[in-house]
Amino acid sequence: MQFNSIPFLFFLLCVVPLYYLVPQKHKNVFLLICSYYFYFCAKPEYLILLLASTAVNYLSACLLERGNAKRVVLYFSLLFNIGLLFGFKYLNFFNGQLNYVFQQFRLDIHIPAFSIILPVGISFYTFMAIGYLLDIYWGDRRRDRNYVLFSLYLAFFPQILCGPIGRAKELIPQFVAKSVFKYDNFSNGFRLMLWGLFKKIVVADNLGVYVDAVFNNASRHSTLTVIVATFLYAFQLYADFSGYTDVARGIARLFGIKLMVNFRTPYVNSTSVTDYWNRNHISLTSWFRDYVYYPFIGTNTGRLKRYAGILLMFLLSGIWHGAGWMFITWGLIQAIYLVVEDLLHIGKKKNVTWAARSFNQLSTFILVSIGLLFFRLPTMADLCTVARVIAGNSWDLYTGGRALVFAAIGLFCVMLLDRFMDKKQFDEYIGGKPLAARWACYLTLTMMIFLVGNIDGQAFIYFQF
Amino acid sequence: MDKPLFTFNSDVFRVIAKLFFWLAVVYLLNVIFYLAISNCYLRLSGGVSGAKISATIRQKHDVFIFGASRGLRHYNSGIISNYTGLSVYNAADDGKSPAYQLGLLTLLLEQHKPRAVIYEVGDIMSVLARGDVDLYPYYYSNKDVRLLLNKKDPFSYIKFRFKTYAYNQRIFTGIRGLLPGKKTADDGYRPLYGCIKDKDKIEYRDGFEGPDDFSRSGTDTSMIENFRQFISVCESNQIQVIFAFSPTLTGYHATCERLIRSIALEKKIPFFDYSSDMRFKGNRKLFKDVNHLNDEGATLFSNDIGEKLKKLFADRTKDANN
Repeated sequence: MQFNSIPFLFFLLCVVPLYYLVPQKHKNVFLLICSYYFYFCAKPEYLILLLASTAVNYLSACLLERGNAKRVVLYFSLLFNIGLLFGFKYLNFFNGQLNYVFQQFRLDIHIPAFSIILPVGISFYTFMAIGYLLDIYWGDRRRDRNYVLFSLYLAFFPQILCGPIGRAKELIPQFVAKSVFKYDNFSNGFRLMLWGLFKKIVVADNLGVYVDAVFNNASRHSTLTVIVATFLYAFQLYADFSGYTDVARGIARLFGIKLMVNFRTPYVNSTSVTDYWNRNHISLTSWFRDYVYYPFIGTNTGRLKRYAGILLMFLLSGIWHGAGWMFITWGLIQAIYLVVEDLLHIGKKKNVTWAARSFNQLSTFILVSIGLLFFRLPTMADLCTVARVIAGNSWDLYTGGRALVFAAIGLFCVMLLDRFMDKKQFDEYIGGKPLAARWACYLTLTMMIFLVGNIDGQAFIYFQF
Repeated sequence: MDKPLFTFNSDVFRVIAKLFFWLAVVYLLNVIFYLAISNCYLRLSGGVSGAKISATIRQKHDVFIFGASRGLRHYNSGIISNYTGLSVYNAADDGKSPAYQLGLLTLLLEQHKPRAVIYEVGDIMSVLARGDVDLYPYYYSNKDVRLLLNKKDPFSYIKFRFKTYAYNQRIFTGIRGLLPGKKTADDGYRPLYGCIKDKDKIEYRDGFEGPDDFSRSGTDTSMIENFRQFISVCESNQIQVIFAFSPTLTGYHATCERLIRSIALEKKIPFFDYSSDMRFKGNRKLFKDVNHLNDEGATLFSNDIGEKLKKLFADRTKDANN
């Protein structure tokens, strides 16, 4: 069930009214059942995996709190969670690398590839579980006595498939608090959902038509076309993932739950790649900061150690995104950007001129877009093809038909609003406008979805992670 | 006394009222936009990209060419018409699936019955998995189109409740219908210009690509059924069907060519196969890209097939007279 599908609309239409009809003490059980049903619809057999992961992690949390052999329990639980990720996400990649090594040494050994379909959302709920266990281990929070609360923390349906990677200290108290039907929750929820769907259906899916047409056949396109597609992919990924997050946050608001903010207008307001990472996929970046960087590197450390921390954090981020050298290289590139920026003090100056700020924003966008080529292209051979085309000298532009025109209109709206919103979210920003402006905005967005949206478009890109 | 499960407070009323208001306004705007765009769109009679269906069903020609991009770019209607002495219209369009061809045929038959149709079969394999069924504007007016679209998407009957869905992404096409300019009927042929550069690497292939494996992922087997149904509709309306596989640069054979050949044999449908014609194979000057002839190549091909069609139609007329 995709957020932008008819079955999900029916699911939501049933779940929301029932949630408010269910007595307070059963609300979380109801929400958990609905979340499991939602996940069951994605792929029934992987619900068993989620249930097993929940049980093992809860048991680990219980043992961690008892205080006996805490470190052993932590290592076991981390091994379990990382083992799950490894088994389902990285095993075939690892086997492939081993086969390559065997081949180089002319050993007659071949490990067959396993037929494994990546369980949707495994990277997200596994990280949430690891975060929860580490919080208990460090004594930052106590284990929740209620198994349902812990299960709901991992399985809450608006965030299970693609995040944001929530924190127990923020989410669980909201599940515990008395849930009351509030107008504000609904108005803000619908605003976020509408804005998210607009970004997904009008911008991301229309851009996807162009980007796919170019990158699926890069050698047949011109230099200019491939350069344009490179930049448009950056916008597509942003519109797709931030669109998903907005819809997820909007749905959660319908139940009175505030999910973590995941994007703060990264493309139009970032003045450096460091700034970009403070604004883009915040839940993952902050997770790595809190559970990898600080524990391993600390806060007041030397430059070299800091750089090692950045490298570790982004290499892990690359691996988290997918099993492949392209993702690892992407992580490495991000780390290099950040280290170089730190060395050259880029983006640290205050009170810069408008021109300097604009230049920084543009160069940040270009650097990020180039890095994202490693994200988009499946193999190094594809990247070489794209590089060859870019190094060429053909300047006729593939226009891509009507989808690109519609995407451009939508993208202009998104970037314009992002520019004005800066660190605010859409619901906060539009909520402060006069009634007529608000309704004009809602109706324009809705009609644009109907008229120019790619309604029968693609799945969310981050489902593959 | 037990507390009520849920109290209908003013917030609930506000949310429901505003949701209904939003839905009502959206529905109204949908109807207004639908009427405005459909009025413009259905006026289009050709010369505007994206309006091929409305242009096609207005034509009263003897011969229609069906297919996807190769059909559209390879068949010069004027040349074929000169040879055969029959009026020819190129109804093919980029990326269109066999379901679209079937829908278009049923829409055409509501207005006019052609004498023959030429089906470019070289397109079929490429559009089986992802070819579109771009017949949305006719959802409300044609039962067969409605069936085809409902079969393609089980939720289409809900989506079409909002009428602008029928013109989703067609707003500019509709607006162009209002603007002055070339909107008169043409022959439907859309040539490509330029040719493949010498430095571009081409992989030449001989023989079949693989078995007729339609169960492979991504291939919509119902499209084969639509293809068969297209032939049945032609048969029942006594329209002569002709298969043609226009030239390819690499000697490409569609995976489903064996199936097409067997249908041709079974139904006694003439099949003109140029896929490995040595006049075209490997001749970069005649191609815009690997799959498409340029105008020069299309002219050469149209002259050749025009000659063959002339003979075919003459033989058929002779047979009919006898």
